[in-house]
Amino acid sequence: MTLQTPMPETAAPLLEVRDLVKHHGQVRAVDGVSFHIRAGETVGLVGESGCGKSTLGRAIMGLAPLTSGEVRLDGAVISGLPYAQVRPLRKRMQMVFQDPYASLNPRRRVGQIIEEPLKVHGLGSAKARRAQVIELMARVGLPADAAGRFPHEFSGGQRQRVGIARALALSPALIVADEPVSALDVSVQAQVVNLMVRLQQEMGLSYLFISHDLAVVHYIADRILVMYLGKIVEVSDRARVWKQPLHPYTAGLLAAHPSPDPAGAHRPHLRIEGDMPSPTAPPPGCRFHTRCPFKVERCASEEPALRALNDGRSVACHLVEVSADGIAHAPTERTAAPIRSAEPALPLSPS
Amino acid sequence: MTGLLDLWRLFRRKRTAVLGLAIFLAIVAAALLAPVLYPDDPADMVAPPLLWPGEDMAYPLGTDTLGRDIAAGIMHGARSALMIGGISTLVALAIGITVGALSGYYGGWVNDVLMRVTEMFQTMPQFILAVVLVAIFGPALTSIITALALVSWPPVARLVRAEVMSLREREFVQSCYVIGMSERGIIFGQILPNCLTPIIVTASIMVASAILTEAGLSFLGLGDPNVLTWGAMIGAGRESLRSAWFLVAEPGLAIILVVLSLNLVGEGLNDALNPKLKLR
Amino acid sequence: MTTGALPHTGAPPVLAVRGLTTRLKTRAGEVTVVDGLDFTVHAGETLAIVGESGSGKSMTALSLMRLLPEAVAFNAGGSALLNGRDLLAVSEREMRGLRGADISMIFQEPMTSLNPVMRIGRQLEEVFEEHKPELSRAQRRARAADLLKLVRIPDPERVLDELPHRLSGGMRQRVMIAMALACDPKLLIADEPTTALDATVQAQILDLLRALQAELGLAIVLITHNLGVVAENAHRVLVMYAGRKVEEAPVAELFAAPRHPYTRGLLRALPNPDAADAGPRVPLMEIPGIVPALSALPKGCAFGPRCPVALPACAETRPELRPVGRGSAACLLVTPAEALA
Repeated sequence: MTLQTPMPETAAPLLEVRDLVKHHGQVRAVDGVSFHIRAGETVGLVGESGCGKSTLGRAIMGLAPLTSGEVRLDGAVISGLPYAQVRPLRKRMQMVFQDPYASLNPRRRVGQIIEEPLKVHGLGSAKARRAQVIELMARVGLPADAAGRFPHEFSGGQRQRVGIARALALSPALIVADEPVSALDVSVQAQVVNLMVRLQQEMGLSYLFISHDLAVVHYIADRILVMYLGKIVEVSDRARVWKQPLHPYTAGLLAAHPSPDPAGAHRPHLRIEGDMPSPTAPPPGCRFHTRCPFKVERCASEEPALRALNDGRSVACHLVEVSADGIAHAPTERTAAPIRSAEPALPLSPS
Repeated sequence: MTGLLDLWRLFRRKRTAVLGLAIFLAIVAAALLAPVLYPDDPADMVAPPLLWPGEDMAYPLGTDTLGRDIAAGIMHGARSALMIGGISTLVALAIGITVGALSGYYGGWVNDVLMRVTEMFQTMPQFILAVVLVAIFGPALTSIITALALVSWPPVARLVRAEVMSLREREFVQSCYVIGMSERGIIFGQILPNCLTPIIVTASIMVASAILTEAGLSFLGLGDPNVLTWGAMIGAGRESLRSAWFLVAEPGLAIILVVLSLNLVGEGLNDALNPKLKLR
Repeated sequence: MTTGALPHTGAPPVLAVRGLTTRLKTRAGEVTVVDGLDFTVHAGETLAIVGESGSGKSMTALSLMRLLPEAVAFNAGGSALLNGRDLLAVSEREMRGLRGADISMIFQEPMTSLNPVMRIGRQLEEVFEEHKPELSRAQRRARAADLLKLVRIPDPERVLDELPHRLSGGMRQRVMIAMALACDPKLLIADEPTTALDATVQAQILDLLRALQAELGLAIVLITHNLGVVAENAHRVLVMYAGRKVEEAPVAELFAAPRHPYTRGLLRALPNPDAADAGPRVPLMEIPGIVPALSALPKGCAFGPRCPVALPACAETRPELRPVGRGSAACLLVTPAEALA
């Protein structure tokens, strides 16, 4: 098993998102996000609840109209189209949902659920479709007798396999996976993650993998977008996001990840205090400044742009500095002691 | 088939529901057997007037002021009650489901317009509205059924609208947009079948309330004079209430039984179809 | 990171559970959801009970608190001595006196445990009305403010007058902790206390629990599915599978040398970014299959059908817990010799 080699930079991206804005009334769920996904690439989108990551996924899929901005697939704009024109595009991009209990019609048999996309697009004869359903089920590791049974007869992990088989039926180039393993138990989570990695290698899929779990995203993604309050604060890669986080939020997120590995104890101990502010009234300046241990005056007034660094990463933080040799320095590296908030100091361990 | 069998196993757990179903089936049987047991017009005068129940075993429920057989009247009345209740409910469901589905699915101005119309109907008292409609259209069977349907669809519309609104946001429906299913396929193939449970439960109660409303109309003399109904029998008997109370009590009991049985069945279905109580 | 070493080894435990067995009435018949569970918790110690959904970990907590509805579940044996009193044997009235006073519990979703239309202060004061009726109104209010200070809520006077929905998830969980600690309990049962919270807030709440334990000498039973939370917060770990204890060990030992194949599987199923380098992606270790239904447990080891190292004997014999290292494991393949190795 090896890492997918990313396509050369010159190839046109499979998916391109430009200045995507999605507001629900007062809620500024997604507030100007741009990124792209190349063919065969897995892009991870990580952030906490309410950061807008699921809204972004749904907006890309055209499940909710954009407030502004555009989404391009294979270079052509697909956002803002009427549903009739969106339908044929579904053969190129599919989605896997978080909740395998809710995402399958309880009144349909598994075989019908997997066949439905083929039927909708009129692909193949009834006989050919049935054969394809059997093949899809085998591919995702479902037993052959599953076709005649109802979703409620299956465990969560098996239901997620059904959801994946349904998404694969149209042989899409891109799958948007919204928290596909969050509802599953640890042992089953590994099965589904491995399956997704294997399918990607076999079928050359691209994924937009959305999750709140930085460890899972780090495992599966080639490039990682970190989102906070409707904005991307850092774009990093698998090699560096965990070892050299640049944005203080990324650093705080990974420090907060409870690690079962004793080695995890040696990570920088950066505690992010407080809660994420409401997306109805994001703070002025840098949206993270209310919780940032390194903030300076400028952070409260001036919004940092997402800067592309020459090492392929991007970051939206005034305090990240690039030294003369071209190396980016996170604020953590220049601060000796972990910063604590104004709250009473907490002893960190009873021992 | 296994679905129906499971449903029955859940349904029979509630004794009152089974009792209700038994009563209802008996009434249906009476309605079906009426032309066999009493092939003659129940409005015919066949015996001396005001025979008390049991007085002459040929007329077990007695005869009315004009010497008509009450047993024949009750059984033929069951026919008209079930027919009027059933057809008016079907019409009301057709209107209510259409309005509710359109309003819930499309939202926006469609919803605004349809819901204002629905509210307009809901603000008027059902019975008075039915009286007015029959008064306008004239006391014929079709106009009575139309009136009953027109007064009873709004709750269905609201129910279906709420169900559709929540179902269209559900992930399995979203996943149908994702595979590019047509909107018609989504509404009729995915959303409406999943609204069926509450619709069935409501429908059973609607039949009961339609029968009750119709009885009220007939009692007031707004019924179809050519159709024998329980309400008309009560209306005809009320003048002799003191001397021959059974003239009112017998059709009254029939109304109570049909309404009660439908309510019990509705409640039983509600429990049996509730997914939280599914058989493990 | 905590260590397995404990300052209280000599003292009697706060809670000693022996043979706890809970049965659940389902339509398909009765099933045993907690099967002969033994454990102890000492003052100042955190015992983590870890397992996947259906393992019986939450049922254990609810059984100890006697919060399972009688129509659905019943105690089928065992004892749970809290400072010498058997929680499973005392009358319902006595239990009401103990709940909230000697033994407290916090839940996964604080919003559902708080009354949405009652101000925070009022809800805290109610706990005192129940357990400390001698306090005056002003004293109750002052105590309530002290409690909010204890759980590091900034500006407690303002928060006392708020309704629950005005607080963030993390703040609500702090309020729940404050309520749980109102009457100085000896034992706190925390059932997935941070599962509904975001990572950064989870870290804050766990820091708080550790700090409070150090200050108050609380015994904590921490119920979680998250092995990372276990590693960073527990002193001892009890792993449950299908209603039974399959392994118990001091935390460092469990993570360094898991004995039961299920524990090993759980640990290796997690992606570990700390150990990973940028090189090839090694597939995660999978535990094949799914957790068996409690109504259809295999005759031998419940984990046998999913176990990568099962022997024919595992399908026949239900393994008993046997001591190994400083803990114990229920696996035929674990031998005392391994403990020496």
